[in-house]
Amino acid sequence: MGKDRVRFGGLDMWTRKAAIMFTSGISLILIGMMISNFQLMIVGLAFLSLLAINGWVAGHSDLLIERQTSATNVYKGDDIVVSLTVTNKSYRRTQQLELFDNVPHEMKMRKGINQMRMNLGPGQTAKLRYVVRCPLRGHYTIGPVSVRYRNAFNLFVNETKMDDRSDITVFPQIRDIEEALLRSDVPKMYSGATTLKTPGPGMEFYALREYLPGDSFRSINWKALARTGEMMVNEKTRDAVTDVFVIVDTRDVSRIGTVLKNPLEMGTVAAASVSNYFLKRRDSVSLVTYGSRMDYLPPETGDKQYFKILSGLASVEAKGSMPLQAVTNALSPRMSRGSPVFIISSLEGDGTTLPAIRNLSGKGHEVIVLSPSSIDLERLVSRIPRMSYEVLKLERQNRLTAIAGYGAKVIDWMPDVELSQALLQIKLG
Amino acid sequence: MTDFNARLRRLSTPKFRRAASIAAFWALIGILVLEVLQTYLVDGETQQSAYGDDWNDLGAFRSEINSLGVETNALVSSPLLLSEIDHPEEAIFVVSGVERDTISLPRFTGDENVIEFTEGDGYTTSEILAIESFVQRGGTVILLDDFGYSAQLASQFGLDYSGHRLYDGQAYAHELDYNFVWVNTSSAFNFTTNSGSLSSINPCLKDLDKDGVIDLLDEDPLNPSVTTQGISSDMAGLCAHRFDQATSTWDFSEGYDILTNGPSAFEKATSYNPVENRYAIGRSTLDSYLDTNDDGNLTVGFEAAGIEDDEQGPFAVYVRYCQNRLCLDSDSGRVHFVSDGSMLINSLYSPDYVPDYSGLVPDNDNRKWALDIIAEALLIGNSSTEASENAIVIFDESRHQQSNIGGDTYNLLYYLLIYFTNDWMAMLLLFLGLFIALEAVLIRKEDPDDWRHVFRIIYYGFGDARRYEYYQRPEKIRQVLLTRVRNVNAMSREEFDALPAAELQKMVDDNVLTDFIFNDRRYKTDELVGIVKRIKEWGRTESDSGA
Repeated sequence: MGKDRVRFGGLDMWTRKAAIMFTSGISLILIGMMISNFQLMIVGLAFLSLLAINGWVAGHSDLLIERQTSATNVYKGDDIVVSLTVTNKSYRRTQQLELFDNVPHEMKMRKGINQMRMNLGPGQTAKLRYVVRCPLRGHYTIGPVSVRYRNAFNLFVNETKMDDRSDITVFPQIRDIEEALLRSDVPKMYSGATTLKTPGPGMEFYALREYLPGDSFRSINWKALARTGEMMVNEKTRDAVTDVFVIVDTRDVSRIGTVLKNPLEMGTVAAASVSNYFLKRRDSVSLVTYGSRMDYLPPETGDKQYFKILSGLASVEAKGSMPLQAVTNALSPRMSRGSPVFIISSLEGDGTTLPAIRNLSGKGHEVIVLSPSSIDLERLVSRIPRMSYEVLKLERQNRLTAIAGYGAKVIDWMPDVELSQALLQIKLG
Repeated sequence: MTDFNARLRRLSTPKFRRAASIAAFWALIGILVLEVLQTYLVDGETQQSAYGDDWNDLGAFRSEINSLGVETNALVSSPLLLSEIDHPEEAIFVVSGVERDTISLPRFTGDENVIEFTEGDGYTTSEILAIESFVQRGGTVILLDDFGYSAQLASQFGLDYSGHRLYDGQAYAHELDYNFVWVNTSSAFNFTTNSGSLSSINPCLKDLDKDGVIDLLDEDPLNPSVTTQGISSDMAGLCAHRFDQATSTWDFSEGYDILTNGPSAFEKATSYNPVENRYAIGRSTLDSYLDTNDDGNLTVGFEAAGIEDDEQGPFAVYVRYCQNRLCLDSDSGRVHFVSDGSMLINSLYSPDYVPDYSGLVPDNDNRKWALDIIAEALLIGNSSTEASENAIVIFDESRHQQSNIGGDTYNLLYYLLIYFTNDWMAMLLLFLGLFIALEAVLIRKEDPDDWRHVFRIIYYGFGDARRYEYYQRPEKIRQVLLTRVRNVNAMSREEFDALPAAELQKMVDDNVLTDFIFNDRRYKTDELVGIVKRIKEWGRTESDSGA
């Protein structure tokens, strides 16, 4: 919710009407002088006088503008309800007042309109309500509110902006992939949460320890306190089975396709869905994105991690050309042995893919490669000659076969195939 | 050398060029502003102003006219305004020294030349025509100038200034110095050799019955036996300067002893031409000479030695131009040319007006001459010695340096306003300027855009289209095939490279593909299409086909 107060004073901009009136006035006076015609000069003077009086009798208002949004974090495709309340706090009418709430171009107006013309009396309030849809993942800002005041004759205009902004984060959509993963080969290896003998957030008792500032009161062991006289807290065991690494390719090549259908968009949806699935099972999930640079989110579990992952995925852009092997080399010391690795990449334009996956497999990681078919995505926007397309597809198949040969499970994800459907291909890989 | 090149590169950067252009622009603006300011910072020599009381101003003359009940005014913009005067026959335009030039534009001539691009110094042609028109409509002009910018104006009436200094060996004011030259005329109203005295054209000298009382005050102007008694100076009105209150007598003398200060003279050839109604009234003496070589001395020439001599007098110093022959009509326009700009300055006109000059300057008839002209011009209709309410004397201040800061700017702006609303070329330019300005406003001035939300997410990420051709080449297709063979047979690159040809042939087990692998020749497109199809089919398992 944003709230701001805006005052108008003075007149900044002449309208075309005023400019024409001014030049006409001057012209009439001069032409009147040329031909010694006082009537013309008087008409010209009347024009200029009207301008002068309008400039002098300038209205001004004191507005209170307040914006409310139904949500600040939404999933791709969700709607947001925005309401704007305008109150005239001055003792004069606002005259012609125009309000426009600046909505990002990437948001689609679903209901209502984000602008309003009004003439508010003293103390009067008007409400503007509209609904926008967010079809694109990302971080957006609604606002500022542009306010335009016109005087009665529409000769002068005063524009100002109320710097009140509402930040909106649009997360990638989450697909339900539970059934697909149950039916495929992937989840069978990680059959849910089992107790690890390490302290952490979990359900089972692990040990007693002394109370430290910041510990929750709920974790205090009152019996131990009564017995020993010292504050002791219960420590729980960590519930996670293992760390799941999700590596998302955000290189420049991942922009190929349309704005809604490209390897990056498909990849973010897949990464969010896979993370969601494993976090629900109380596994720790790490998110790694690489493009112009590598962003690493250490493995964690819980809702906070879920939010971090979604935020990270919301902000990724197709940029850079970092090789996969550089990423795996950097991650290698941080990856627990045997932890599954999801690589979501179109595998285009990177000669290090094979050695990188070979290394991961060699270190005992279960590698699942989910590869949006960039050739087919490219075909949505470019005319690829038939023979080139076939050869490119053959080459891609060769690449996927070679990766599969290193023990990775490979999914060739076609643009028109749902994520859950695509995941089922693992069995066939 | 590298340093020099680097410096040169830095000089040619857009940033540097932009900065240099901006600096040059502001420097130019600064110079222009300084140029303008300079004219105000340096004290201008103000003189011959009708509103000044200095020794060389015309304050005494103007005050006296005012005291006679005649309205005076100053023209600070341009003589173009003379065309606006409703009663020119009762108006006098006094030009005392034309000190400066002013801006002007090309003008329409109205003849076969269509446009005249150059203007003479001093008054613009439009202004000269306006003054001429004023005279044609009955106005009176007193033009007092010696070396100023009034040559063009005099030329319009057929008179030429000599442009040289006039000296007189004898007739100068000995009490003062040789710069003060006397111009004496005993019969200022004998315009031509045979015209006789035309003093009756001046109401202050007109006495038809010769009874010693001017006709304007004479009860019976045609009966010498009827003499009007009890005339006072007040009754004399504009002719009071001719009336002696003490003796109750009128001064009917037709001569003037005019004292000039550093005068010039008019060209002999043009100063007298009765056909063109130009009459040389006041002349210098035979002892006068014109310093034609401008050396400040009388030079006796010796033609054989190539020495130019100074021209010997007499020269016309006061010339009268009449719109009608001999100025017989009282409402005839007339111009009084005097080749001395200081004739009416306070120190000569009324020495007592400036205490420093009181008693120094010898008695002269400058005042009488000037007031005679005023009376002659303003007393029309022979009914009264008082000027009518329409009478006006206008002093031209448009060509005088102003004493106060901002005065010149005001004059210039006023001049521009008058000029651009009176001169046809200027009016045309102004009209075009207005038209262009209006068009520019219409084109350039835009209302604030209407606000509207635009949903815009259209974006296409294209791959590298240049690679499509590469993927149609036989060698690329061959490489794809060999990789496929290697992958299907789960061989490493090294193993595959070491594979004998016969083994490879056996692995492929397809004559067409084998031929394609080993036969490096040109392939037609349809051949390649067939080969690609075969590669797709080659090595396919059931699961592949199912997928």
